Amino acid sequence: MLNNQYWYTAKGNNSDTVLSTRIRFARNLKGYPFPQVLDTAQKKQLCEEVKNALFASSAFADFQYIEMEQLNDVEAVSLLERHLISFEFAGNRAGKALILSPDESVSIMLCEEDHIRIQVIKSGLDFEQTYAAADNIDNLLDESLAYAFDERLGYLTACPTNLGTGMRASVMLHLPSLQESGAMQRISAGLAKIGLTIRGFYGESSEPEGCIYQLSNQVTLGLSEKSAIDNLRNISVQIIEQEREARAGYIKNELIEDKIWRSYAMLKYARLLSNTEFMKYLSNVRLGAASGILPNLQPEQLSELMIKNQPAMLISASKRNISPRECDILRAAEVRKAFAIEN
Amino acid sequence: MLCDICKQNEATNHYKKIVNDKISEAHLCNECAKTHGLPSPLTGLSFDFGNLLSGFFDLPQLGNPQSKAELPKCPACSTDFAQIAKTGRVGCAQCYDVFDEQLLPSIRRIHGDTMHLGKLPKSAGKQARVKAELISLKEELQEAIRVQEFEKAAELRDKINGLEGGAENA
Repeated sequence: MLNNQYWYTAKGNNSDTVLSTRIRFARNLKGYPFPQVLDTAQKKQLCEEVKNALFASSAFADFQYIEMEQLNDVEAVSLLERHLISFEFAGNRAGKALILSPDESVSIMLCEEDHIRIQVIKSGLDFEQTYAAADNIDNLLDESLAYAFDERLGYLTACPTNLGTGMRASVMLHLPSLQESGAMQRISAGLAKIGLTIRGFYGESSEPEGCIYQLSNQVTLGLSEKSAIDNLRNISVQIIEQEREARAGYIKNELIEDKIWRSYAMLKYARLLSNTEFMKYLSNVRLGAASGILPNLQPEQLSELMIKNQPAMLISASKRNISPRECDILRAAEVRKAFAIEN
Repeated sequence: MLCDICKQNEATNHYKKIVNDKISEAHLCNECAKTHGLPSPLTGLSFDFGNLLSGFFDLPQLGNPQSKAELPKCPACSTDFAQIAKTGRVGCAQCYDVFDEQLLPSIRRIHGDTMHLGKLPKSAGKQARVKAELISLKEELQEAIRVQEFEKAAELRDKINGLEGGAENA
């Protein structure tokens, strides 16, 4: 057991369907234009100001300060694969910085789309603790920094989609049975009408790899944090219930049971596993673990396996530059090893 | 599967574009993805998601004889509205004042309501705080009346009256 429980190694609530809960606040400082208008030197100056304000508080003493341009592509993408930073932040790193808590539950991106993006991610379905932690960090920063704010528009953000609370709350859900039943399009269309949105594994415009979806609030202005979270929680619970209902019927089907066992065999014996293939089989195995078909496996073990075998995480752990083919060999070996111990 | 472009390396990046139900696919190796500026998990992460949002804004009328130099700019960051419409992002906090008229219809389309509710930073000042608390108390009052918790409703009403008195004196 690790001393530091990361979101993907900890056992969370409702892990049969929920991987993680996340809260993100977008904040900007008064007196600086937004990052897209700043040059690299100005970005560095801003990062420095936030860094000094933040590390003056003892609450952040054991946090890590990472200058993003010091990282190589693999290190940056491995942060993205752990869902600690955004796609955009991993790509264009000049002048940007990341502040990370030891258990990686808090990640603060500096000079992403906004000056400050506070993110808290926790295992399972847990809006209370996740919100409380994000709120606390936000209050600590508010003590020593002056946020850009307008009474009518709320926290001022680079993109008007984040105005108001600047808060995006989201849950990462595993929804294989709803996807298989073709219900996702209907659900997605319904959600848009109530100010929520659902998208793939890595957020904006990504495909739902491994039947993993992110459900989040879309409306941030005119709706308090509490109302937005209540709304999201209610709908999450409904979707989770629908997935469970669909599963109950689904797993009785021998074709599905066969698919789960075949996927398990693939992961247990394959010598080459591409990420797409891995994600597909892992989704089936996760369904088997959550529904008792594969009794020796727990869904949360599979979250850990999933994250640790993403491409950059694998390359990073191997500590050398490896080809895509070698990466697939390594992934297959890691997965075989994990399953040999579990069963 | 070999890369669609060089036909030599293994394609490890797979793209699918769906436009009005028309699906087009591309399979590229890391090198070709990079040279073509496409997003890949390990190379050239340069995809600009801002473009996806720009559809939200009403661009200034095309064919308008007004030249680019004449477009009003934000005095604080020199961003003009054409840039905002193109990127889906404003340049600075002051842009919201300068381009209020142009931005407001889009903001309404995204959020519906345009009056902030929720957390306030300490810089917001006491008056804004009281106002925010009043809104939230009034919501609680409505809810208490709806579920017929009249004792709680009376308490809330007293609190509201107290705050409203205080706000007037402030």
